[in-house]
Amino acid sequence: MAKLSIRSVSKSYGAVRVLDDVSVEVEEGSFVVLLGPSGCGKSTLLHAVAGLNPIDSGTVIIGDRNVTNLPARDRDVAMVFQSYALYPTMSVAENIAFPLKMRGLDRQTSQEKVAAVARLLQIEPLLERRPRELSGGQRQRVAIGRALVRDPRLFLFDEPLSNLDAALRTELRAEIKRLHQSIRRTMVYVTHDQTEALTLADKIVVLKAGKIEQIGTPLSLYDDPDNAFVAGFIGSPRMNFLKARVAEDGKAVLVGDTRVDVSHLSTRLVDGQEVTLGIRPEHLDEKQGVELTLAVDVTERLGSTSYVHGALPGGETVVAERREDQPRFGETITLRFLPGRTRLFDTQGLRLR
Amino acid sequence: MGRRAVFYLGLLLLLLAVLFPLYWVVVTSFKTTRDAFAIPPVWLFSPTLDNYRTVFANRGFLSAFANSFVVSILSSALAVAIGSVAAYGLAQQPGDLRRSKEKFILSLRIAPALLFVIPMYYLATRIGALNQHWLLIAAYAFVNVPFAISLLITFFDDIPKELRDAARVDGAREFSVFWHVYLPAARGGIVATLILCVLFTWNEFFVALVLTGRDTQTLPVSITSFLTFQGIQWGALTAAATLIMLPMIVLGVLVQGQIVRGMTLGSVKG
Repeated sequence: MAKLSIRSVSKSYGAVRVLDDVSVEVEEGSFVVLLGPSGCGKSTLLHAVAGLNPIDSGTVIIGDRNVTNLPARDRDVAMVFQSYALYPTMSVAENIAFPLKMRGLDRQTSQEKVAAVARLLQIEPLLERRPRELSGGQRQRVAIGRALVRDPRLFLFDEPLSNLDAALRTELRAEIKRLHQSIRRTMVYVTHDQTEALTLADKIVVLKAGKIEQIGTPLSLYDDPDNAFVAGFIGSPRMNFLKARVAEDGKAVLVGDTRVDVSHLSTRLVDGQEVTLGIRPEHLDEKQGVELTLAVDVTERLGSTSYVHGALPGGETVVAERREDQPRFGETITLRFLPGRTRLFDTQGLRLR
Repeated sequence: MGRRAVFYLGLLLLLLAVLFPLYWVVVTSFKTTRDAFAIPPVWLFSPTLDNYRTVFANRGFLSAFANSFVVSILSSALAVAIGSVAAYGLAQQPGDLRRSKEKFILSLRIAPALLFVIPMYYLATRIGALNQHWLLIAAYAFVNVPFAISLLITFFDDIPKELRDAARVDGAREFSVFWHVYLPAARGGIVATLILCVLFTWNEFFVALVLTGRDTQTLPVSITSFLTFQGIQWGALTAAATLIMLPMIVLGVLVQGQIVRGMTLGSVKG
């Protein structure tokens, strides 16, 4: 078990900068999720930590050891891959024992450790099978077993649940969470799925185009995003972004003709300045507050709640949560929200606080 | 319907063209000299093993059989051993680096054997290696290595890169990744490559003609001893040819699937 420091890591493939001065601190025993859309560099960063891809500049420190120039085998990390990456010609038991074999552990001890891990992950009946005889969920369990068996200083997960169907994903997600709570090892987890990030992470690092957009706890990213990208990426359905203009007194913004009070912000707003008002679907279902009229287009019923898609009089599309009623296509409804729930962004997408 | 008939007719003609000579060789080997040259040909005859007796009585032929066996197995094994390590290394390299090396290997495959056989003959006479098996084994291994590399690369490319990543994180050195993960996963391809090398070596004539001495003659060279000044001993010749073909046909049938896969992979991607 160890902490992980990623300091000013950069990497380019030809002219493309896939990691641009990335620094992340991962505390001992914590669960950090690298989150971002595909191509944002999150997997490259994880591979750099594992030592699978060399980096152009920067330092990677695991525990108190600078591992930047060490090969993967000497970094004492374990990794779980999206494609499971089980060795096809070995049995499940041999797969799990492989890291021990490579480190020259004797057969007796190795067998005991494999048995212990198999018990923990409830894959004991599978030990003699080959990977191709397993289902996706079982394969990923075996892959996790192979990572666990050695008690490494750092666990790395590279989108481990992306190849699984929805039900299995939820199940295994909870299992990984439980695993972390019971063994309390440092884990770094890459995903593009914000639900996984929010449910698993102690801390989320949001990446976009090789740069860190924001680092924070799941709740702080959700409540207090630094920019429109993070605000839009975290939360499902995503935050609504409405074009707005600062009113004459600088204490409110106008969405169409609707006045939204923003006098609680400390930023000085200029009359006529163009801004973006962000408001989450779940905050548009208040009993009182600022009102917007919505022409309903589609209603998605989820049972416990519904999401209404529609357009404002200005033509902007909005998604709103609706807990009490389920309006139909063609109806016009009133959305109410509290100005304090809105988040304001400038034209560059930076948050105005 | 008509098109189908034409297709099958064409197929039949092709099959005849390919299989008839084989049939003729095998059948002639069981005929007496008189039957063999009867005109019109004798389709039904009483088979004889005389020709095979002649062949097996020929000491040169038996030692050539042993030579062919040893040389083709050892040289192919050597070629596959070297080729698989090289192919593994190439398969792990980034595209641009890899392509230039692949071009070089391809150029070795294109180069005519004459190019290296003549200097090799000269060197061999100088160091007195002309009548030794290892010379032939080395020559064939050299011819087969580029072939083995380009074929094995396609098999290694089929193995997901994550397996190497996983093995490296699991503590494997590069050679361990190759030995414990890639080699077992590409076992089918290795066997196919080995057999194709053996087939080539077994049938090869030109290199063998130049580089073999009296004690190291291989079958394709030794079979020419049936073309004597007194005339061609057709019976013995066809019996010898049948014996030469037999092991390769058996081998070919046994691993047909793998070989077809290997050859198509090689031709499409390599």
